Amino acid sequence: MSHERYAQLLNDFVDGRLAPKLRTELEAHLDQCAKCRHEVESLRSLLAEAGQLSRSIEPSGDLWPGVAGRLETGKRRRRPFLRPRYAVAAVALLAVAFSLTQVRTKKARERTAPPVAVQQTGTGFVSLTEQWSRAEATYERAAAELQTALDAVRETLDPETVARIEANLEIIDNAIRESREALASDPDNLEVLQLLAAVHEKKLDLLQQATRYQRL
Amino acid sequence: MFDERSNGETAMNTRTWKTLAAALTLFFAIGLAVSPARAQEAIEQGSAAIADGTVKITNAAGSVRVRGWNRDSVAVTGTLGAGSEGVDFSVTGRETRIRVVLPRGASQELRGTELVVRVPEDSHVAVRTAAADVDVDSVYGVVDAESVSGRVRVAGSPRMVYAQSAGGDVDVEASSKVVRAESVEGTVTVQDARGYVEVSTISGDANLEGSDVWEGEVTTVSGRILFKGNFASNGSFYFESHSGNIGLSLTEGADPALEIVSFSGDVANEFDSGPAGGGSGSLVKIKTFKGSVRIERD
Repeated sequence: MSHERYAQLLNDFVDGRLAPKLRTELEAHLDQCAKCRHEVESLRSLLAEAGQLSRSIEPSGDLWPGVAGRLETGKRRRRPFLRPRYAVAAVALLAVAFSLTQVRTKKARERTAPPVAVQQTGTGFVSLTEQWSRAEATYERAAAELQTALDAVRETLDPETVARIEANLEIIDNAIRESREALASDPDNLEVLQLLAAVHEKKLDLLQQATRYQRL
Repeated sequence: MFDERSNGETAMNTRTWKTLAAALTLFFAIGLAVSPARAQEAIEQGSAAIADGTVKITNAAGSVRVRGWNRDSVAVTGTLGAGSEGVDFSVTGRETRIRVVLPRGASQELRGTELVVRVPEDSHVAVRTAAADVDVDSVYGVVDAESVSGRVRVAGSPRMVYAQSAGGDVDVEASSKVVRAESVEGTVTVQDARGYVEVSTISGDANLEGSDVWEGEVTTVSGRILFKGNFASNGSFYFESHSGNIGLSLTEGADPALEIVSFSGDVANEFDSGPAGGGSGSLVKIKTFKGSVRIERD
């Protein structure tokens, strides 16, 4: 078997999914091939890295900086979707973090405490609704700033791209409106609250992404 | 070949000669093509390159086709689009840059360069395009491909994949451990998923297929979500859409713990495993505001 063929089997080898005979053959190859050994180590390291991520509240937070570092050093832009993507919003959201971090991960799944509807502050208790209002105001400020940035480069963008962005912003705004209406009638519905937060994040993602299009 | 690599010094010598020969061929036979290619002309440029270096490619419109090969060199062929000024080709340390140069204020109509780039198979590849389609295959390093409106396709076994297009479809047919695929309104399709997968769209549909999906999420605002396959033991996955319908077609033997939340959408579930846990130990959470949820056995 060729080196190339062995290299193609490394993923399955790391997964422990190779048939015993093939595994033995590949292990013999690994004894002689430093490149494949290095690749196996890299894959295992990668899995460990991704494993760490997946157990955080925001699973994608730390993965791509590492990738970006490999692709480009120094001046690479920060990816717009990196989480926490919007530091200011993230700080505001800390107040409702316990409510918003529903079971996306096994770690969250293991959490036994129920969602917290109120958080204690220095001046007393603040309702979930109020906390969310603050957080949402932060989202809106961030969106407004990004919209301004987008408006500044709008003329440099392809008209079809602008139309595409606007059409999808409208879809997002409709979703925000519907979620808000649902939340108004059911203020303690944490699932709707989380969906609303997710749609806000999509909007920020799209706006930030759009501001980059003219740089190519 | 395996035999060559097991012969120690002899193999090294052979490899060195091959590398030198390839480099000389590129430098002299092709003429190194130091001067920029002209509009409507064929593109032929190349250079020796580090086996696991980074290759960055920028092309506004047309297409970018990247293929890994078993040589320590980068070669660019193709056709320069009308109105394009040339192709900048530079190598700095571990990095090779290939950029189609356009005149200032060039309109979309002037663009359309077709690039075929051959890179060392262990390279990390980053591609940026506006309207150009991107197609990357046979590369084992990290692949990072992004287009504004072109289609993006990544295949093979890259170490990681990041693929994005705002308007175009995104297709990932790669057996990578980590995949992130995004579009605004194009359809995102990820096949052979087998690790950490993240798919995101606004209005585009999201299709995910895999037999050993370990962890990740698929999220849309209005796009439909379809999953076909199974989840890894003890894995966890999250599907979310505001108004898009969500469908899971689970293969025989799949038994994840399912947690389904829908504010006003219909839910149809052929599985009865609740949040207490399915037999496989995997957890799947599905959340939608008004889209329907359908989970069925394949």
